[in-house]
Amino acid sequence: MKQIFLGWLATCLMATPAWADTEAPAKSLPAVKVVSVHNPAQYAGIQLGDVLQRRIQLAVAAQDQLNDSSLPLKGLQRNGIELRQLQVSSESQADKKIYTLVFDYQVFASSGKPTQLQLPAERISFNSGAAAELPAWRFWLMAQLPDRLQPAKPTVIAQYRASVLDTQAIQCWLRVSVLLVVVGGLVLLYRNADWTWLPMMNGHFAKAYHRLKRLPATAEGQKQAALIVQHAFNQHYGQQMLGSQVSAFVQQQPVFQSLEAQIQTFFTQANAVLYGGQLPAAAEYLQQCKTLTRQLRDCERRV
Amino acid sequence: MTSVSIATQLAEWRDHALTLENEVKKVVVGQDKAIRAINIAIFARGHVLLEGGVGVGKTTLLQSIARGLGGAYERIEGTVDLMPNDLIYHTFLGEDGRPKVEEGPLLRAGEQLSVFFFNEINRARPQVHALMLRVMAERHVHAFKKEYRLPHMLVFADRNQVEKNETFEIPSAARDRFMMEIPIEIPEDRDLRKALMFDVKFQHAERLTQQVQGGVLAYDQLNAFSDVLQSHIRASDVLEDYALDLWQATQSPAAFGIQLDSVDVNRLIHTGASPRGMGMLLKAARVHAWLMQRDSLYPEDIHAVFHEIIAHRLVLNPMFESRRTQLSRELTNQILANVSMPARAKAA
Repeated sequence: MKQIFLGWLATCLMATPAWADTEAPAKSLPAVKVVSVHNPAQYAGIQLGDVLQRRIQLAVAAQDQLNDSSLPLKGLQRNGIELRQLQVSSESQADKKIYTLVFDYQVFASSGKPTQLQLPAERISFNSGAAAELPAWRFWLMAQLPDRLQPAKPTVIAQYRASVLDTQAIQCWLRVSVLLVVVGGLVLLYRNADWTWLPMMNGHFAKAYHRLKRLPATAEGQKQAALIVQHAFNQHYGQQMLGSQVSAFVQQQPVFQSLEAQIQTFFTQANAVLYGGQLPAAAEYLQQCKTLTRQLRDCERRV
Repeated sequence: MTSVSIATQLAEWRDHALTLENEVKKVVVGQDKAIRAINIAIFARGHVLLEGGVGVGKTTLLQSIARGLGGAYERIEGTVDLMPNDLIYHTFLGEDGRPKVEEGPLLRAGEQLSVFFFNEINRARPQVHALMLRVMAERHVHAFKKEYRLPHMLVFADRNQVEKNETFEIPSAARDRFMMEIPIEIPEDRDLRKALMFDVKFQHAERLTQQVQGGVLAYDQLNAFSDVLQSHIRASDVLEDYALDLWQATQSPAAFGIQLDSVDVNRLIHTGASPRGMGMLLKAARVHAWLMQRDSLYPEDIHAVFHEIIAHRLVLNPMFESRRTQLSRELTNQILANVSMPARAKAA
């Protein structure tokens, strides 16, 4: 029995170092579990300046922490690939901590033909000594330039201003034509318009002419015509105007001087129409009134 | 009476009327407007008030008119002690030493009286005015147990405008009996003034009036001819509207936009022209139209006599009476200037 015990003891003593050897490595290198790795969706057709993003999630023990100093620095260039941005975030879950690392790379390499490049492998280590490696990821950089590079200068074609037609004379004529149209339009407007809202349109003879145009060629129309023109004279003269005051009227308003004889004739005829005497023909009289009033209106407008 | 004979009659009388004017103009210078107005009054058979200062030739003018008119001319001076009976009769001691009664200036000439001149009528008492105005209206008077008819008489009265002492202002109702008040003004023309000063012929009024052709007009036919004349001259409806506006303007000048510089026109007028006054206006205007060889009335005819016929008829509020001559002239001028043809209703 003693021998059996000694034999068992000796066996145990011999077996103990072997167990100790197997347990020690497990304690010095804590486990890092790679939860997920996301690489760029496209691996071909990448161009100069493209940004490629890799993302890795690692699960470590809750008390373990990422060793920031082991991470590559922002701006580090490796074979034409620059680390543009590195984002680290962590999240605690029960007895573990989830680290998420996002690597943004920008391609600064160029080539005359498609070339295979790779995003560099990254080693991520933790304070506990544990580490994980993000393997390199290969992709194809597409050709940016023709095969045969040559200086651009000899191929540049000088730029020449397109020759233009000389339109100065045409423009000059166009301006003159527009000016004539505007002036002619205004003259026609002033001569023919009956509207009183235009400047200088609100003259007494203009109004009278407008009213005369509506009168019928009857005895009553004839009488109305005489009254309308008489009224316009009264308005212009500022008081009741009689035939004997025609001279005073044209002296007061010399713009009508040229029509003195016609005005005198009007009063002679108007007296016959309004108060008694030999009546002129209605249509002829109306026409005479219109003609005189139109002339007076033009004088009034100083046309 | 046929139209031809009427036309002839009108033309002949017109010649006579113009001859009378020219005759009077020969001896009374610078008074053409007044002479024309008096001529119109004669043919319109209206009595006349003369307005003017002393020594401007009113008497000479009237004596000249009376001579050209024919008939008898009588004159009386208005004094504060003048009584109505002084117009009708006067008493005196005859050669036989017995008291006698004779007809006064109003009755003396009987029906031949054509011009009666009442000098300074406002010096006479209101009783005298009353008699005079009645005779003017009725042209007859009862005296010496009989009726004296004065069918051809025209009264010309003069008002002393300068002196106010011992005068009796003629009331508005009495003024209305006179067809016209004619201003007799000193001529503005320098040559005429010089002639009046230095030409000795103007110093002898009686000799001057002898130069006027006598009996140019048949005074006793004037009433009949006046009727013919008045019925011959026509007025259109347009002119009637105009005359109505003028009448309304004498009553409500502000309604026609009439304004006077120194007076609130709303307070100026107490009463405008009377219907009799407007009737006389048209009557005188017809004579003017006839003198202008027309048979229709024109506004010019009304304008020609408007001031003379309307001014003295306007009844001003008492505060303005002292300035009557100036204000009434200003107002009538403004009425003629502002009341326009066509009439307001038709111009609107």
